[in-house]
Amino acid sequence: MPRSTAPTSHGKSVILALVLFTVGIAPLCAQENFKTSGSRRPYTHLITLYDADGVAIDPTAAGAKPYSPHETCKKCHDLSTIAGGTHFVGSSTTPAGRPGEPFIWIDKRTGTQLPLSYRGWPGTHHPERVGFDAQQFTAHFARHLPGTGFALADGVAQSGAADDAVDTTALPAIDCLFCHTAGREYRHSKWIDTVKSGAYDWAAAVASGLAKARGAPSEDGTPKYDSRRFDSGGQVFFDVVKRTPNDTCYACHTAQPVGRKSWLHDGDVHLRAGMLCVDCHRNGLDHQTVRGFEGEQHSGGAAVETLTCRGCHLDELDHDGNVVRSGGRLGAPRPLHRGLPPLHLEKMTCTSCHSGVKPTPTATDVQTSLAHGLGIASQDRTDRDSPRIVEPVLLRNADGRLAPHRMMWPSFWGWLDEDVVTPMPPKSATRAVRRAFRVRQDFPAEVRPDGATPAEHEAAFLEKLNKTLTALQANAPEGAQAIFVSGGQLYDGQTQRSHPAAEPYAWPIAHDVRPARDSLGSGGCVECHSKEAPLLHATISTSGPAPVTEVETHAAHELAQLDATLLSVWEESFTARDTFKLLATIALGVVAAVLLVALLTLGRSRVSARNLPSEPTPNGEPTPPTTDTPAT
Amino acid sequence: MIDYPQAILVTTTTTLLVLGAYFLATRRRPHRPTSNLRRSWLSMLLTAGVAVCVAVLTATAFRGTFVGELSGWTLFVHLAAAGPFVVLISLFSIWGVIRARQRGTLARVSFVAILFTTLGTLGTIVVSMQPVFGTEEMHQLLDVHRVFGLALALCTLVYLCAVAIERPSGQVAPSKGIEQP
Repeated sequence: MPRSTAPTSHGKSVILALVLFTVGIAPLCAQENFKTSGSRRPYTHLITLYDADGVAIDPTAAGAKPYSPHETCKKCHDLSTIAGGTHFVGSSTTPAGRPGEPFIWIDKRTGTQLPLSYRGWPGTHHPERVGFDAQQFTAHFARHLPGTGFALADGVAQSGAADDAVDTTALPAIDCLFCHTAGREYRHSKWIDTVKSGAYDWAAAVASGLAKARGAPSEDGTPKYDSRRFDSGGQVFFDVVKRTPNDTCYACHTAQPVGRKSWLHDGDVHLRAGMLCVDCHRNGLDHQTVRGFEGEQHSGGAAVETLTCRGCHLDELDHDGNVVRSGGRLGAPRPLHRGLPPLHLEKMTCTSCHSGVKPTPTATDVQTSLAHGLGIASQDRTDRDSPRIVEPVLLRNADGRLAPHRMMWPSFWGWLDEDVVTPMPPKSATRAVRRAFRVRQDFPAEVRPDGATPAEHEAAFLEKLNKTLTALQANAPEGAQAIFVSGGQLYDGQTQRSHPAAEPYAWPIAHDVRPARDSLGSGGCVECHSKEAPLLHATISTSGPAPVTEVETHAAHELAQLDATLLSVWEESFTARDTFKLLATIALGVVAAVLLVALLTLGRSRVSARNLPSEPTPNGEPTPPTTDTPAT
Repeated sequence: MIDYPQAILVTTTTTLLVLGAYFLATRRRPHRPTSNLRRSWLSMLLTAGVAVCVAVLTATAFRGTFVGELSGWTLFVHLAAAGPFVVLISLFSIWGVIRARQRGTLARVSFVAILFTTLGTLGTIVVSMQPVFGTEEMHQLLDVHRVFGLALALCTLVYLCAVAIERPSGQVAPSKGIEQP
C-alpha cells in the first residue's frame, strides 16, 4: 500500500509550529545584533571604527578609508529603524503633521525662493516635482541635514520615482554624532565644508575631528586621520549622549531676528530654566521626534498629548470637571492667568502670547538656519539676505485658533497650465533671465539699480520681464504659459494678479517662549485691545524680487480673519472699561445696601388686604390706604 | 458640571408654569386693587429699562449657550448691555425699595429676588475683572454668573408679570365681583 504524501494532521501541526516559531523568532534574531545596557547611566562609547566595507579603521595605514557611521553604529543599533526618523527628510513613515519650516531653494541669479518639502505641506513643492533630485537636494541642503542616505532613497521611492533613481552611495550617510555628541569637538562647519566639497564619505570623520583635510580631495587633499584620537587598541572615544544638547539643535534650528542685538535676547525660558530641547521634543528608537503641537498624531502611536504646552502645564478635564490627565511634567508650573477671561485660551494658542518675537508695529524680519544657512561663517552675510521671512503673523490654525506664524513669499519662474502653476528649475530660466535682465549674481538687488526711482525700477522690470517670458515661452510645454511669481503676484506678461500659487507660505512657531511677565497681556488688556496694539495692527508688507511701486500691505487683523468693525468697536469699548468697573462696583454696593434694607423692612411691613382700598365706598370712591402698619 | 441648555429649559418652563398658575388663581378672585401703588412714569421707565437690558443680556447669553460659544458680536452686545444695566439696576433698586411696601406680595418677593440675583450676577463679573482669580476659578465664576444670570432673568420675568397684574389703587376698574349698592 503506497504511503500517502499528504501531511497528516500531526504533520500539519508540526509545520505550523515551525512556521510560527520561525515567524516569532525572526524579530528576536533581527534584534540579536542590537545591544542595550539597560541602565540610565550613559554607555561609554570607546569603540572600533569601521569603513564602508566593514573593515576596522587603522589610522596609521596609508590610504585609510573614511569611517562609516553606518557600519560602525549598526553593530549595536538598529539603523534601519532609526533611518525612518523625522530628521531624515525622505522618510516615508513620517506623517506630514501641521506645516513646518520648509527647505527654501534659493537661486539668486533668477530670484528664485521656493519652499520645498517631502512632507507635502500645502504651499510647499515636492523637490522631485520641480526637478530637484535627491542628489541635488542633498548637495544643496546637507549643510543642515544630519545625513540622508537610504532614508532619502526611501522617500524618493515613495514619491513614485524608481528605486534606482537614487544612488545612495552618493549621499552622505546618517551621521549619528551630528546630534548625539556631548562635546564640542564635533564641528558643524566642517560638516558643511566637507559636504560642500562633495566628499560625502569623509564628512563624518572630518566633522568629528578624527580626520583633517588638507586641500580639496581632487587635489590629493584626501583627509588624513589624526592618530592621537585613537588609543593603543585602535579605538576611539566618542562622548555619545542620548539627550542631545541644545547647542546641537541650534545648528539647524536657530532663528535670529534681524537688526536686534542677540546679546540682549534672553532665549527660551525653558532652556534658561535648565531644560533641553529634547525634554519636549522626544523620540524613541524610530527617531520620530515629537513636534509638540496640540492634536499631533505620533507615527509610533505614542501618547504625546502631555508634551504640548497645555499638556505639560495644565490638567485635562472631562465634561464633569474631573482630572483625566494631570499636567505638571518636569515640574511645569500651572499658569494662573489671573484675570484673563478663559475665552482667550479657547480662541488662541499659548504661543500667541508667549512665543516668538514680541509684536512690533511692523512684522519683524527673521533669519533662520535652514533658510539663510546660519552656522556657515561668512563675511557676506547681510540683514537683507533672501528669503525675507517675517514674524509674528497671527493666522488661524487648522482648528481655527489664532497662532503666531512665520511667513515668506515664494518667488519663481514657472508654467501656467489651466490655472495650475508648476515651478521650473532655476537652471531652465537662468539663460533667459540673464539675457533680458543682465543679472550676474543677485537678481533682487540688480533689478533695483542705484540712482533710479522705484517707478523706474518697476517700469524697467516689466519691460524685461516680458522679454524673459517671451524667451521662456519658446520652450514651454504644450498648452503652458511662462509666468513669474513674486511678492504674492503672478506675472504672465500681460497682467499681474493674485494666484494661490503666489500666496505666502506660513508655518506656526513656538519658540522662543517668553515667561509670564514678558508675555502679551502682562501689561494689561490694552496691550492687545487698543488701536495701537501691534498684535492686531502691525503691518505686514509683501516682499519679492520684483520691484513694485506700491507694496501690498496687510494689517495683522486682516490676516487673522478678524471682523474689522467688531475689532474697532471692541477696542473702543476698552477705553470705558475702567469706568464700567467703577460703575459696576458702585452698583454692586448700592444693590447690596438696598437688599439689606429691603430684607430688614419689607419683612416687617406687609401691605395687607385690609390696608388696601378693598371696598369702594357707597359713592364709588376707593377707601384711601391706611398708613403702613407692621405685620402682625 | 451643569448642563446649561437643560437647566435653562427646566427653570424657564417651571417659572412659566408657576406664573400661569398664579395668574389663573388670581384671576378667579374678586377683582379689586391688589396694590395701593399709583403708577409713575419714572417707575415704569426704570422697570422697562432694566427689563430691556435683562432681555438683551439673556438673549445673547442664550445664543451663546444654544447656538455656540459666547463670542464675537454676541459677546460684544452682551457686554454693551451690561453698561446701562449697572446704572439702571442701581436706580431701579433704590426706587423700587421706596415703593416696594406698596406692592403686592409677588412683586415684592420677586423684587428682592432680583436684587439678590443681581448681586450674584454682577459680583461675579466685578470679581472676574480683577487680576485675582486664575483660569479654573474664572470658569467657576462664569458658571456662577450663568446660574445667577438665568435666575435674574426669571425673577425679572416674574416681577414684570406681578407688576402687570397688579391693580394700582388709582386705576380701579369697575368691579364685577362686588355688588354695587
